[in-house]
Amino acid sequence: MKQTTGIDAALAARLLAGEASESEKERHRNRLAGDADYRSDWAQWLWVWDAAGTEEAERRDCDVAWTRLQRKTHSPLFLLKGRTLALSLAAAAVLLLALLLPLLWTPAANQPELLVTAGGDEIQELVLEDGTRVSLNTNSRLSYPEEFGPHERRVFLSGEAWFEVEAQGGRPFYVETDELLVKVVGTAFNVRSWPESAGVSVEVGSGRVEVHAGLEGAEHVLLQKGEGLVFHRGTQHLEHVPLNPNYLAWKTGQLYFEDTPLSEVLQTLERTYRRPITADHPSIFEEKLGGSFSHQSFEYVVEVLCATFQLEQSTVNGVVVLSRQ
Amino acid sequence: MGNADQELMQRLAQGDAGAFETVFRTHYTLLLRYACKITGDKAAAEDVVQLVFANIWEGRKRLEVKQLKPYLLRATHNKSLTFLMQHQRQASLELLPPLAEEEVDEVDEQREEVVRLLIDALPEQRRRIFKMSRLDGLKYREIATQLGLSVKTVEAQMGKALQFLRSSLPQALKNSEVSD
Repeated sequence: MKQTTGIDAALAARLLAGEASESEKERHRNRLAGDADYRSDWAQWLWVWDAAGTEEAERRDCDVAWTRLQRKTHSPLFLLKGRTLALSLAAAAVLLLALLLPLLWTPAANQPELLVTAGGDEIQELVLEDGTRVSLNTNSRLSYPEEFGPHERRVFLSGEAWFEVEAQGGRPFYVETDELLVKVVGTAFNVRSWPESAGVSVEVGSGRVEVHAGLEGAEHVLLQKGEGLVFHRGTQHLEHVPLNPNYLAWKTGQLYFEDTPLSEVLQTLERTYRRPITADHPSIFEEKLGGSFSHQSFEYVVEVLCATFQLEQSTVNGVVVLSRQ
Repeated sequence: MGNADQELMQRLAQGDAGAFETVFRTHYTLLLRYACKITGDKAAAEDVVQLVFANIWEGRKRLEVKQLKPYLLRATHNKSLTFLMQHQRQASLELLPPLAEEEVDEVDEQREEVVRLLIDALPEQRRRIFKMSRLDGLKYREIATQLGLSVKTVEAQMGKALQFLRSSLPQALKNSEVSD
């Protein structure tokens, strides 16, 4: 037991279990960066921790694979194939929306609501009364009336979802969240509203949407194909940003990178898997990645990154940190 | 075992999704490792095993299988080879034994077994605390509340558990290889 230069077992456990204090984590990061002995000692702790969790990791892999298989064998998409085709041929408006909101949300009291919750690790596929198709991401809730009114269609979302909305003249489709109101003008778009992040973003795949900051629509922005915006929660302002090419990866399972700087790759991984990841040296962010991933786990993608750029990973309080080997 | 398999297959033939899930969960990890060994590629192996089970579901009414495990391994083996051929990966197919069923990644299974034994060898309270943290992902405070302990105790027990695993695991793994 070479504890003199190494990491004390209780501290190692705290770091690995995400229980370490900020100052402990700070000291840990510094020593990892500057002390080779410390790094190799830490690698041992990590190895033991991983080994002790293999069974659990395998159980999770198995869950993921089972979900994937169910989507293959029981997919409502399969049943809807004819309809989907008809919709796209008719150039129906396609609305793509992903939102994550603080989980507490109260529906309007006067509407008879249907509430659908996607829990566990399965994405729910729904068809609304007007033919709108919805893929509801895990840990998300959608609330909508059993029948839409004659003048508008309105749904409330908490979490993340994909909508394909059939255009109906005179009956616009609205998606409401705590902070934004998205009006469908005939389009495909994506909205993300993670509770933990400083901004809410909207990205348009095709057509146009109108985004209102605040439900009363004090400030609004018209977005077109290939455009995106961020709503800054702090300043309550809307700002235009370019479209992230992988904004749909949460739904499609497909990630594509073409000469993409790692800074952007890591951001994409964070938003897709909702797992924090960073690197501890500026030069790492500048590396360029090309290639694609299809239905891969976060762990797998990170392993590929490490192998490709000769990096190593450690987990510091739940944040995956990439370092030079 | 054989009987249980036949019963599962009967239920599966009738479209019982629960039976299908049981078959899947019982064999998934093993088949994944096996496919991984042949294809040398985890992503490909995942696809292969998905295909194996998707085919089983689609052909559930026609399947005549008495023993599931050998059947699944053979199907995985064949699908893996098909994958290699389709992707023209350099694998000399003759070198692969037609069915190496009994030795599918015994090493991995052994490692898991060794780790499990070591965890089981921890004193009861320490073992519970360690499992609650490592496997269930509970916070120290949650563990302390559930077990009626102080956070300090949980911390100390976690340190001891991890220390024990670190000092015992390498030797235990070595021993298990020798005894093989």
